[in-house]
Amino acid sequence: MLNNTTRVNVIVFGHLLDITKSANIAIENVSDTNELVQQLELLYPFTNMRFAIAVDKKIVNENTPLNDNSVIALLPPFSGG
Amino acid sequence: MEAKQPYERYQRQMLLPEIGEAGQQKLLQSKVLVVGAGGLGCPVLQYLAAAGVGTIGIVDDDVVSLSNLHRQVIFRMDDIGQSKALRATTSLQQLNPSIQINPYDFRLTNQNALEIIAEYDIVVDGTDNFSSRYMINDACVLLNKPLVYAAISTFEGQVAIFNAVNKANEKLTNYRDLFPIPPTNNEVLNCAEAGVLGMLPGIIGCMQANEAIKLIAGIGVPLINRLLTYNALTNKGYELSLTASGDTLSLIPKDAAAFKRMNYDFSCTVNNVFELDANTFSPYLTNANATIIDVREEGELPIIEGFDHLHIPLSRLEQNIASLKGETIITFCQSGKRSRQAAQLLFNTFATTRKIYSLKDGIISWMNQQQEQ
Repeated sequence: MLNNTTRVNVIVFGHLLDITKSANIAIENVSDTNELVQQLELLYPFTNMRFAIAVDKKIVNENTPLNDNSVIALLPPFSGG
Repeated sequence: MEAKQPYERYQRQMLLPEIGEAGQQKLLQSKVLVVGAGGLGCPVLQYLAAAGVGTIGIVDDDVVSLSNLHRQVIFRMDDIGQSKALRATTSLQQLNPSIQINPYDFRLTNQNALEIIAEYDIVVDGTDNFSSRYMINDACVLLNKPLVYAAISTFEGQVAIFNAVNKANEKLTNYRDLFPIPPTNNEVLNCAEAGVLGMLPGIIGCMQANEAIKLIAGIGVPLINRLLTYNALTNKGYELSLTASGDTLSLIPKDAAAFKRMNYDFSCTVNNVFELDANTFSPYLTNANATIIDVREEGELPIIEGFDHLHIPLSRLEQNIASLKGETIITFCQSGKRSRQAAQLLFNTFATTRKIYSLKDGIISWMNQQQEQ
């Protein structure tokens, strides 16, 4: 993506919040979900964490392009009952 | 009395045009299997029984303990030490004697799941571990049974219906479309170890019961191919849509034989970790070459006194590994789960240069045994 001011909003769920400390994170200059995860891994110790990714409220299983103002949810699995 | 006026019990829900007599008949003829009579299972069971779901199966191999009572509200003090499946059955029969309750007071495994699930129309997952969740998911896919899923973590819950057809006739989705592969042991705490307020499984369990009723009666817009997350601290919900992924089905066993061969025992396949039972643990308390570590988080009770040990919470163990001495290292926690993770972490560092053990079933179990002796 040529537009270098792409800004996406990341919403964090579950115990990922223990790491990020903030439920909402703004990330700039990422064009797809792979780049986003790479960026996040630089900012937070996400190693060993597994999470589903939703782009604009749709769960995605493959690398997915992001648009300006996309909302990305990171959803770790819960086991508790 | 009830035989003369069979519907009096259900009058208020039958007043809803969406339910009516036809809907009530559907409920009375339906068969729902609830796996796990815990925080989620208790409200699910109570509301399904109250609503007149005609046959309810309850699978749970656990017994009631005092620390269950703040959230597993079906149980009473007298139930402590007794089978959850059997005590829940008695309680539900008192609530509604006109329905059939089938207790299964053993663990649902890939060896018995298909036979049991086959007897029911809908499965409700209220389990507390990933092994069961993946196993139940795969069984429901194989048997083509709708699965009303929920799970909680501290203040958040997730609810969804898998393996059911929605009005748009979209492809069926299952749990593996959300999380294809189980997390490894040190990725997620489970509810027994993480804290939880009783109301959260109450709320989420009621949502599950509500979704089950909607599926049976064919009303509303059930959470098929949708995952609802709920946060009790903010009272906010967030809904996500799910689509079937092409790769998912390759992860699910092809048939019953493959299902029975599959290893679902994720939490117990921690390689190289040896567990000590309470009797074997005790002699180490006076062994100068043994380092004993409490890996529970700060502030967890009871405080352990009476033998020398270190207190290094699991979350900080990795950064403290280098300082550990002793040719034998034994970890303990409340229930024996986190100590197993801790032992695995230690093993990853020390391999066979030290003897690494985890106290099986946790320190509470050991203390109880000491009292008995």
